[in-house]
Amino acid sequence: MAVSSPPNSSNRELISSQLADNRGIAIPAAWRTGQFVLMGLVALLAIWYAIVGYRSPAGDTGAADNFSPFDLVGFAIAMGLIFLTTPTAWVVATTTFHEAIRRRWVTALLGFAVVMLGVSTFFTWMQPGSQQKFLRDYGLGFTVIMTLIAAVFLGVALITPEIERRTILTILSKPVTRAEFLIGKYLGLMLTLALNLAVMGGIFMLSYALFVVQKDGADALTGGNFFANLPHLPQAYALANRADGLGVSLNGVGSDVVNLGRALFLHMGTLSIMAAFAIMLSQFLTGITAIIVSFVVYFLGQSAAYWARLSGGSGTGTPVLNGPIRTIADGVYALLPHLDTFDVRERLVNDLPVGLNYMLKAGSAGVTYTAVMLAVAYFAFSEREF
Amino acid sequence: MELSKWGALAGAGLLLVSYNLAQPGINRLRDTDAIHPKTEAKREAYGPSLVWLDRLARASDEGGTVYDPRTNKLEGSGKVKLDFSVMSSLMVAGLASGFKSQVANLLWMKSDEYWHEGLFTRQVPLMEAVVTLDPQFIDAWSTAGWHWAYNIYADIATNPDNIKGGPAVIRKKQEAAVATGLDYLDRGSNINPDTYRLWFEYGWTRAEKAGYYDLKTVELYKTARSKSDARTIEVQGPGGQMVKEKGLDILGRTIGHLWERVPDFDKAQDQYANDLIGATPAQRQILNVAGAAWHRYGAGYTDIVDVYRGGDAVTKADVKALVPNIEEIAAAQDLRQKIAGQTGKDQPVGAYITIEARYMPAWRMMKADDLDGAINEMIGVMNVNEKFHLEGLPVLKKIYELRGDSPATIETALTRTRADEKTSSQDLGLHFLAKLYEMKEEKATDPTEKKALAMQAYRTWYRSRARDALDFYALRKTRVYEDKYGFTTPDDIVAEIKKSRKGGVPDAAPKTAPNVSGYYGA
Repeated sequence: MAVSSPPNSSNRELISSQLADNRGIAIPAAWRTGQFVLMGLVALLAIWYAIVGYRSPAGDTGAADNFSPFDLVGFAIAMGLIFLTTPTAWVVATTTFHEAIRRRWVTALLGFAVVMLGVSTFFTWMQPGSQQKFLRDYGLGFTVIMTLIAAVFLGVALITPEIERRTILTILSKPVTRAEFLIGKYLGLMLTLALNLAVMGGIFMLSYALFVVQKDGADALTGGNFFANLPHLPQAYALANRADGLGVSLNGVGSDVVNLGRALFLHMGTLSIMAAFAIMLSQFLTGITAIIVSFVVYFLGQSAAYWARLSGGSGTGTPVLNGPIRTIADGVYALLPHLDTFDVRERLVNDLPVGLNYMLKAGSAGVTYTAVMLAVAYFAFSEREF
Repeated sequence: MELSKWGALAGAGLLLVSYNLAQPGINRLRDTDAIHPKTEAKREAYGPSLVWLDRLARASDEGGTVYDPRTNKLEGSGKVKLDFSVMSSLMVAGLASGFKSQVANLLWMKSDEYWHEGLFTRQVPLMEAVVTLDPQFIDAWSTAGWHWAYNIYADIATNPDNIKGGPAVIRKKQEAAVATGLDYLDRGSNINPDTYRLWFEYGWTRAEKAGYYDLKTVELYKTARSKSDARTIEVQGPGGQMVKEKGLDILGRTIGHLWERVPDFDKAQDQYANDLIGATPAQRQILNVAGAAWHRYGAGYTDIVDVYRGGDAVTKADVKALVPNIEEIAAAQDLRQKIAGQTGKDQPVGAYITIEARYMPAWRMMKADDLDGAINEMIGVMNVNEKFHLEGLPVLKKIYELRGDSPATIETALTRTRADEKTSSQDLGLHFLAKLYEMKEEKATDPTEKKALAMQAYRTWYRSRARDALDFYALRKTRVYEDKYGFTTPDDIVAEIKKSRKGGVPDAAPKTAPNVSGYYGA
């Protein structure tokens, strides 16, 4: 990797003066101001959440509403991450992003996903009578697996090649701290994954919306094929957007798309954890081993609710397991990333809205676990000799 | 190593602890235990249903009986067990990967393949796997319930091993199969509480296959009716394709039908008149006049109104002489047509009037504690004995003569009226008659008389069972008596009804009220 110069060339003197103590460059005031603005916004979100935002939307399962001070840890870490994102880390991030999207397999993966999501409506015959459920399952599932593959394979291959190609020596000989390098790599990966998710999610939501408009709007309005219905698209959309409890979309296409968008956004939690996990593993294991372990952890993490139930940590409170086996289950549950927290597909197929309270609570947990992984990665990376 | 790096590790540990401390709150949001602490099967708020895990873990603890078609044995609980044999590698992969629905779809297609190959029993573990993987797959719950309660139920009776075991073995296994089907529908409806379909199918299977016409079934229908999609129907759109629209209140009618078959005619009439039609007490009184006219003249009472309305002054006077309350009947008919003609409603006004005509006279006697009178009345109605029912047919004949009908036409019309009443009244009439005997049995204190009345109730239920092979309520009732008193199949009734079928429509009504004391010692 070749790191371009930091955005502010007037810092060159600072770079040379700070090389000796390896403290990186001074942060320009404008950058710092931007950081504080962002941190302020996160703080406001945290305050809002702590006062009112933790409550479920009206008509939802209000009895389960709860607020814990530990929910705020994630907000605090997010602010810390913003603070640690120095111009240098940002340069590493953007360079990592550009490198990642130039990889052919990433482009191929994205292209394949876009095609499969684009034609997803053709597979709805597999569940006659539940086409909308099938589409939501299929679209979200496909997006999840594709972005997950990208997260693990890219995450494992972010730092090791730099070491193998010795480019890390060049980078770290510049005023780039190891923490900045690590955070930059992580942020670059997250930018790549966010782009992938946005493209796939966008195509999926568009396919879904067109399917619903065709079924609930155009079919009822004029019948015929899609192209014949095109002139009637506005009326068809208006029909499909009615929350009348009828048709393939009970709450209207607009509500569905918003809900799908929220579910996809929540998936960023899984991607963040898995990206950090892959980066962390790459500090200890070889590439292929790290990939295998990452997927094993993903499967275990997806099953976190089962571990919790087995150990009596959720549900009726009566532990299914006892003795040493329960201790093992407890331990696995305590160490695992609870990835199923970010999976709300069952919510979607029931036509129930994904609440902001849930998104923030789950998001906070995701940020916290990501920080754990990055801290461990930093611990290993900072000790590494090249 | 620098202290700051150990600090990073310590920080990671602290964050991990914080992470775990935040989890109970998330779990509370994901499940619905806070709302349904003791409900076993329920839709979780955000997370997946974990009931399967409890069942798997506690499989060995559950008692009861379940028919396993693979081993052809009864075992397990009153509920479906999830055992490890169901946990195929594909299923485990689906559960662990988070792609449960996709795996469920694959297994569902395999199950469908077995269905088309006639391999019923191979579908059983697949169906359990599908509903475990994808608890929101409504079709899978519905099909599993139907498969057990109908297909496997029917298959049991054709299995040579079961035939060898005799009727008792077949009955036990069939009852277990229906119970298993009901368990699927119970679990499925609780885990998908927002859609009407599984509540309705649970209620329907419970009533029409297990034979439970009771409050629980009514509650299930009411729950189904309260759902937003309860009246969604598919109709043909402008391009010939099927589109969904809001249809009639079929579930409201189903509740009324259930009360009719219990029977509880007060509740049935209330359901139709108050709940569905929204009739005022005054309107009900007017509709009762139509019912009384039907009781006297049969469905032909409407012809009397037509002749009266269409006739000249002389004809009107003649009709009025024959039917003094013709004005009241005409007003009742107007109201009936007005209610029935309400756009998009298809009101059950006919059902209300026929109940009033055929059963309410005996029902009122029953309420007045005149059980013998009610029994005679009901037998009279079912046999169209003009001492009890259609006593106005001679008047109707004169009305037809006034209209200028030929004697042959008149005879045909009157014969059809008698035949229609006979056929239509026996379905509910036999249930009612059996209920009357049950009430007498309850009141009797002498054990011999009690048993004789029980025999009458049993024989009446058997008439209904023999008349209609799909009357599972009567089937269950007869089995209750067989178990309690050791009654055996009344061959005379079976032969009598079989013989009557040769005439086209079965005639299952007893011809006269029996001399109960003749059954003493039965």
